[in-house]
Amino acid sequence: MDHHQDRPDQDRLVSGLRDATIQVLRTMAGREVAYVGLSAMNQFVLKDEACGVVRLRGSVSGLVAISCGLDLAQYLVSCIIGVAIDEIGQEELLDGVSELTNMICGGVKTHLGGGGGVELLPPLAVVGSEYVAQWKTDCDTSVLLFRVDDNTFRVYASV
Amino acid sequence: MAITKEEFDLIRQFVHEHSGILVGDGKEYLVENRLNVILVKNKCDNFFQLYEKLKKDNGALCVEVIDAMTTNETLWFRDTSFFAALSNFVIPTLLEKALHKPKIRIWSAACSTGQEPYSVAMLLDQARSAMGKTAPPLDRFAILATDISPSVLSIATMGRYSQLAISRGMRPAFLERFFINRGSYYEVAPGIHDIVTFKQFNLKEDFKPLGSFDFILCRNVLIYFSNELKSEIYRKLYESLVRDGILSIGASESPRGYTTVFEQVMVEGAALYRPSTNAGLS
Amino acid sequence: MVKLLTIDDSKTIRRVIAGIGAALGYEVLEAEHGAAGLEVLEQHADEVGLILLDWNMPGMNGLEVLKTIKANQNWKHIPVMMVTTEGEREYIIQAIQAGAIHYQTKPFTQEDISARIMEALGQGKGRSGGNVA
Repeated sequence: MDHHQDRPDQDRLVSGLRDATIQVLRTMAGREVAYVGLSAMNQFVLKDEACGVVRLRGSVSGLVAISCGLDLAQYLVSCIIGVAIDEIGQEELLDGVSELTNMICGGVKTHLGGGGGVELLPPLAVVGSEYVAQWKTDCDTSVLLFRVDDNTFRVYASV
Repeated sequence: MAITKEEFDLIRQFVHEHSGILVGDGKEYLVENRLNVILVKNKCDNFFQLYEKLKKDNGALCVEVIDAMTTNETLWFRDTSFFAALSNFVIPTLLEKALHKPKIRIWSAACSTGQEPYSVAMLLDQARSAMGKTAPPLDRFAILATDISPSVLSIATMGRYSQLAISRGMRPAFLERFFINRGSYYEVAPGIHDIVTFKQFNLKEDFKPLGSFDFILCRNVLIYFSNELKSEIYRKLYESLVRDGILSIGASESPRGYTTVFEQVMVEGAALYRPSTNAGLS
Repeated sequence: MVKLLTIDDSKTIRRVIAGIGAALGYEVLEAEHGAAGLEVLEQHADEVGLILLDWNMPGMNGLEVLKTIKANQNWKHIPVMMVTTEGEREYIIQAIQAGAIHYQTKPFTQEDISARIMEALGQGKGRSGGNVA
């Protein structure tokens, strides 16, 4: 983290991310999402089978990420592009996860920057089971938990 | 340049007054996301200026703002109380009527891109199948679907929906039964398409040329009208309904205060309206 | 036959837009970044009736692509609609000033995009719902 920057209002960030996640999944994938609650981690660690990460830099910096199980990721992508789950290859999955991350993160960018001072870097998507991703930060990470049907969908913010 | 608390309060108060829709605390994000384009196109520097313009120009700009804040919700019917009322009360009532009447006429008064009239047609056909041999034929029903906008009507008339539209509430069983998969999009099956007629129509016009109806859906459209016009449109809706007809309006709407000619009927938690038996026009 | 051109680095979004275009009866040409989009225009400028343009892409960004299109005598008449996650006012102002006819933020619905396509291609103007007194 860049220490000279003020941290944005965390409540506003969380409510923005919550609304953006609900809106993106409803609009693009037709899924109704239930917001379960918020927790905090003192580390930024991702280990679900599918995750997407966007780096913010500028007047505010940090990371926003989404993660969920592989089955849910495949299902969401299949809802968006309209092909059967077994027709979704790695390319479609990676691109779909990236775009979901991009839209969820993009939705709250206006909140964070206030004047175009925040830049979103292209998303990074990771799909597979054998990894743990960690980002070194001295900020707590907010973790928003959602239910999509019977699956868990998480959104992380360390900003 | 983010929206201020004062601006947010003014805008949400405006939206509430004109649509009955409440924009909750902490939804600044929603207002900004949906209205920034309108703000820029109207050469406003901030939301206060947009609000000032809205107050003065209660016309096209108001429609655009309310639309931006309330649409995005053109969905196929799904598990809401309205859907339950439709499936369990309105559709059986209409089917029963169709056994004794040569034509049952339904009007979707602001059909947008067509999801509403097609959904009604699909529900009718599904309920017919469940009735078996005694069911009235589907062509005994005629659905008139109107909208003021030619562009949305042309989309509705085609009856073709991309995956993005289908995924928003279409039940898999209905998709399989009532649509033809054309690869990159889905097309409403001919039997369903055939009983729906589309027509451009402005609700300010005289309704008489449209004839009378057994069921009218005029959902979430009167929110755009002035109180005076609301009264007039409720009167015209009343005159367009047959004596035992049914009117459906949006969940946040009510004819109360505009007319006394309708009786409310609560079905499955949803409010429907029937012409009052002792109606004197207000 | 009028075609649409979507320039977006996300294949997911290109497929969604192609589906919407197909439902409206239009063939949709696809390009995965700005330079590829300009190449498509070199080949098909006469057929393209509307360009749907992302903002954040590798290489040229959407604004640079938009300015390039509007500076070209052969292309400047083609309407361009931005389709992007960037919803900040500064971005919208820049795009409208550079000649974009509309600015659609992601996520979007089929209705959002379809109605704009029909308007841009002269298939009627207006909106759903009623008129205001």
